[in-house]
Amino acid sequence: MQQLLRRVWYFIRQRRFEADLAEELEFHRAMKQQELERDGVPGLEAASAARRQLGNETLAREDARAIWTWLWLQHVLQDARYALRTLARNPRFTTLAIVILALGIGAATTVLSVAYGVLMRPLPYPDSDRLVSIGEEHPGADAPIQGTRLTNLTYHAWVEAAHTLDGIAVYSVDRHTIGLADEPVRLSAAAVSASLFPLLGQSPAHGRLFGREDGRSGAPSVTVISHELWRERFGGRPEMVGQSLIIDGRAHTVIGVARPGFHFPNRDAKLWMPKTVPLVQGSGLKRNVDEFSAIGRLKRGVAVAQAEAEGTAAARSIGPRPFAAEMLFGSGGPVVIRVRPLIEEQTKEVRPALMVLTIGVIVLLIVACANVANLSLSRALTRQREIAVRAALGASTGRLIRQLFTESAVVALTGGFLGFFLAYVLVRSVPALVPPDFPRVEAINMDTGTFVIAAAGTMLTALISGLLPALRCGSVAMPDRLQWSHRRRSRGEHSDRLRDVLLIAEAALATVLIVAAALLGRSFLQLSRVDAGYDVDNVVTARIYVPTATPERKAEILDTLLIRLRAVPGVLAAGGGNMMPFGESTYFSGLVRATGAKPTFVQAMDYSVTPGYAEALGLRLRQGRLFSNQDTTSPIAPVLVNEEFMRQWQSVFGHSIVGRRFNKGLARRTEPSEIVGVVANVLKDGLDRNPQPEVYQLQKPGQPLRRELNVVVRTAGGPAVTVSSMRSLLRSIDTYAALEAEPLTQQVATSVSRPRLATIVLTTFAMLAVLLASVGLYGVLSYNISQRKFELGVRAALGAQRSDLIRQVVFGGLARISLGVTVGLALAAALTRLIESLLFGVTPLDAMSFAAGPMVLLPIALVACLFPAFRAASTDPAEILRWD
Amino acid sequence: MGAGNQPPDLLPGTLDLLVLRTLIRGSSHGYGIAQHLRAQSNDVLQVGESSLYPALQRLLVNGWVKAEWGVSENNRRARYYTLTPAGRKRLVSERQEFEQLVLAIQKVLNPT
Repeated sequence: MQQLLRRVWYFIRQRRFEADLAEELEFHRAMKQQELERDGVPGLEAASAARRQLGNETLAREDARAIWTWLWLQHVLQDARYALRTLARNPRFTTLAIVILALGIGAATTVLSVAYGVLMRPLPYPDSDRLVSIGEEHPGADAPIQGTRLTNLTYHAWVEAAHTLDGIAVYSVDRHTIGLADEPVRLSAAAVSASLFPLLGQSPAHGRLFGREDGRSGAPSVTVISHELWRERFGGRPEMVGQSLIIDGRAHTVIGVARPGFHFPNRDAKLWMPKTVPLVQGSGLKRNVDEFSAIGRLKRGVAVAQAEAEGTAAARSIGPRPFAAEMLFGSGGPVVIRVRPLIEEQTKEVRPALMVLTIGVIVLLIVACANVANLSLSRALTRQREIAVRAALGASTGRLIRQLFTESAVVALTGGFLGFFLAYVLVRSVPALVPPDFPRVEAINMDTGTFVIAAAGTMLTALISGLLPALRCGSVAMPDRLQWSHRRRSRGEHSDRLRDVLLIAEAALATVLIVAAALLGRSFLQLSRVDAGYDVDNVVTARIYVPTATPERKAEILDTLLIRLRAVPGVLAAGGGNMMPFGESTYFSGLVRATGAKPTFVQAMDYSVTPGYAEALGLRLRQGRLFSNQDTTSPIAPVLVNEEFMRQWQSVFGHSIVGRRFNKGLARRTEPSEIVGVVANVLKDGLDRNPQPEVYQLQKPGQPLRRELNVVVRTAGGPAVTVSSMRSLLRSIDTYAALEAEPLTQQVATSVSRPRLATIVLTTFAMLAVLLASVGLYGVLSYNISQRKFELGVRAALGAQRSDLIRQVVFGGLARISLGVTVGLALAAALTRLIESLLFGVTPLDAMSFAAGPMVLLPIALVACLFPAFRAASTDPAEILRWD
Repeated sequence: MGAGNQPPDLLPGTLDLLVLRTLIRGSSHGYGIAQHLRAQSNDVLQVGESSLYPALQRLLVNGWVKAEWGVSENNRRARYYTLTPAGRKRLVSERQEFEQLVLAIQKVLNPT
C-alpha cells in the first residue's frame, strides 16, 4: 500500500525525481573526476574518463524509471496505442462495434437503473426495510375491494397485542375539495392515524404533527400539509401554521408542515388529516366494519412470515365475520393476514413489467456482446498472418492474447462510455415518459449505482466480446500458420464453429425477444379492442363538488346544470349520475326478493343516473329500453341492469329479465324496482378489469342527492362544451362549486399507457436484437465468402452456375438462422409463462406471436445472406486462379 | 517488477544486500556507497553506476531507504541515503537468505 503511494507520488513528481537523479549522477561523475585528478590525471582527460567510467547514463536513468513505474502499465499503454491505430485503420468495423455496444450498454444501464431505482432503492424513510404493508385476504373470495386492506376488527384484535410489530399505522386516501383563495381545487389527501408519522420517522418542518387527541370525536379539525403544497400554494410562509383551510366545506386548522420530499402513500397526497380506527361496536354478525390500508414496522429480526402467522392467528380469534366484512372482502376461506415489504406493495403494479424489461435488456446486451465477439472474431481471423508473424518474432502467447484483448477492451470502453452517456440522457427523460400513476418516479435517477451498472456492463461486454476471440486467435500455435495462405483454403476451420454458435445464439435470443414483444403487442391490441361498454369520443365527464350544499340543493344544482347544458347547441345528450368511468364506486349488497321468489342475497354495483345519462355515455342497450322522462313520474322505480348482473343472477330472475320486479332490502315498504332494460357491461376501472354486476337506478329530478355529482356530456364533436365553459356555467349556478373534468379519451389513454409503454420498449429491444442478429449474419457470411473465394473460383471455373453458388451461400446462412430460430422458439416457450401476468387476451403460447419469430427474422436474414452471396457469385474465376 | 541491470558476476539481489549493509554504518551518498563497496572488497566489486542507481531506486520504492539532500565532505550538494527501520529488518532477512544460499552452494561445491 505504502509502496503504491510512493509510486503515485513518483508519478506526480516525475520531473522532480528525474532532476534529482540527474543531479545525483552528475555529483557522482564530479567526484570521480576529482578522484582521477587527485591521481594525477589532467583535468580535461579526467572529465571524459569519469564520464566513460560512469557508463551509459541514459540506461541508468531508464532503469531507474522502470523501477518506479510498472512495466505492465507501460505494456497496457503500448497495447492501447497499438489498438487505437489498428482500430482507426478499420473505421467500419470499429464504428459498428462501438455503436452496437453503446446501444446495448445504454439500454441495459437505463432499464437496470429504472428497475433498481423503483424496485430496490430503499424507501425514503429511516429503516425502511422493516416497513411492511398489512392486509387481510379471504382465499377464494371474489373480493370487490381492490388493494390491500385491513378491518378495524383485525386491527383491534391484533395490533394492541402484536409481538412482531414495533408499531402500526392506518390510512386511507381520498380526494377532497380544498378551498383556496381564488377557487376550490380537488386534491388527494390521506387520512392517517397519529402513529403514522412516528412510524415513518418523520418530524415536522414547521408546527407539529398529529398527536393522540387529534381526530377523536369532538376534537378540532386539523390538517398537516405537504412541504410542496405549502411552498406552491401558500408561498412558504411559516405563519400558515395555525391558519385555517377549508376542506370539503369545513374549516381545518393547519397544525404543521411536513419535511420537504416527504410523500405518503404516494406523490399525489398533498395533505394529511387525522384518522382514528373505530372501536368495534355491536356483537356477532352485526359488528361494525371499517376498512383501511395499514402499514407496520417489524420488530428487529422478525421475519415477514412470523408477523403473518401472528396476525392470522389473532384475526381468526375474533369469531365469525360480520356481514359487513363479508360484503367488503367477499366470502371465502378463513381470513389470512398478508404482510409484505412496503416497497413491494407500493410497486406491485409495475414490478412484473420492469422484471420483464430487465430480462429483455439483458438478453439484448448478450446479443450485442455475441455480435461484437463475432465481428472481432471475423476480423481477428483475417489478421492471422500478422499474428503469426508477431508470434514468430518472439511475442509470447500471453502477450498476443493481451494485445487482442486490449483492442476489444478499447472498443468496449468507448462503447461503454457512449452507452453511459446515452443512459444518462434516457434515465433523465424516463419520468416524463412513464404514465402519471407510475410509482416512485422520484427514485429514478443517475447515481453511483447507475455508474456501477454501466461499468459492470462494460466490463462484462469486454470480457465476452474480447476474451473469446482473443483466446481463439492468440493461442493458436502460430509458426505453421506462416506457411499457409488463406487463399488456398477451401474449408472453414474449427474457429468457424465458434462463430456459428455465436450466430445461432444471437438468432435464438432475438427470436425470444420478438416473441415476447409480439405477445405484449398482441395483448395491447386486444386490450384496445375491448369494448369498454361506452363511447369515449366527444364525451366530457366532470365531477362537481359543492361540499356545503344540502342534498336538496345538490339535486337542484344538478337539474339546473343539465337543463342548461342540453340547451347548448351541439350537445347531443347530457346526464348526471354516480357511475363514472375511472371513478369511485359504491357497492351495494343486500337481500333481493324477486316477485314471487324467496329472498336472495345479491351483490352488485349500485348506481343512480338521471335520464339522458346512458345516452350521453353511449351505454349499449341489449334488451328493453333506457330511462325515459315518463319514468320520473312512475310509481314503480325503474332500474337498468348490466349483462353481468343478468348472467350472475339468472337463477333468481330467469331468462327474460326485462319486466321482472324485485325489492331491495327486506322491508316490504320499499317500493319495488322493475328491470326495464339490460345494458352491456361497463369496464369502468380499466379495460383489463373483470366486469362487475351493476344496477342503475333512476335519479329523479329534485330527488335529494346524497352522493357526489357527476355529469356526462356528449357533443356532436368540436368544442361545443369545454371544461372551462362547463366551469363557468356551473359558477353561474353556484359560486361555491368546484369542478374536476377531463375528456374521457384522455382518461382511457392513461389507463392503457402502462401496457403501451412496456410494449413499445420491448418492441424496441426486439427490433435492435433483430438488427444485431442480421448484422452478425452478414458479417459471418461475408467472412466465409472471402475465405472461400478460392474454392468458389475453382467451382466457377469448372462450370458451376452463378445461381448454384448463390443458392449454396444463402442456404448455408439460412440453415444457421433457422436452427437459431428453432432454439429460440423452444426457449420462448419455456420463458413466456413469466410474462403471463402482463398478457391480456392472449395465452403465453399464442401461435401468432410465436410465428412472428421466424416471420420477422427469416426475411431479414435472407437479405443479409444475399449481399455476400452475390459477391461470391461475381468472383471472376480467372482472377482467382491467376493468384499464387 | 523492475528490470534491474545486474552485473552478471553478482548473484541476483546481492547488490541490494550490499547497499543495505553499507548504509548500516550511517547515511551515505551513491558515490560513497560505490567507494565503500570497492574498498571493502579490495577492488573486486566494481559496481557500475548503471546498476547502483537503479538499485537505490528499488530500495526507495520499497521504503527500505530514504533519501535526503545534504552537503558532501567537499561542500557539494549530494543526495544522502539513510536506512529506514523497514530497511533494517529487510537487511536481516536478506542476509539470512543469502547465507543459506551460500551455504547451499558450498555444499554443492564441496560434497562430503
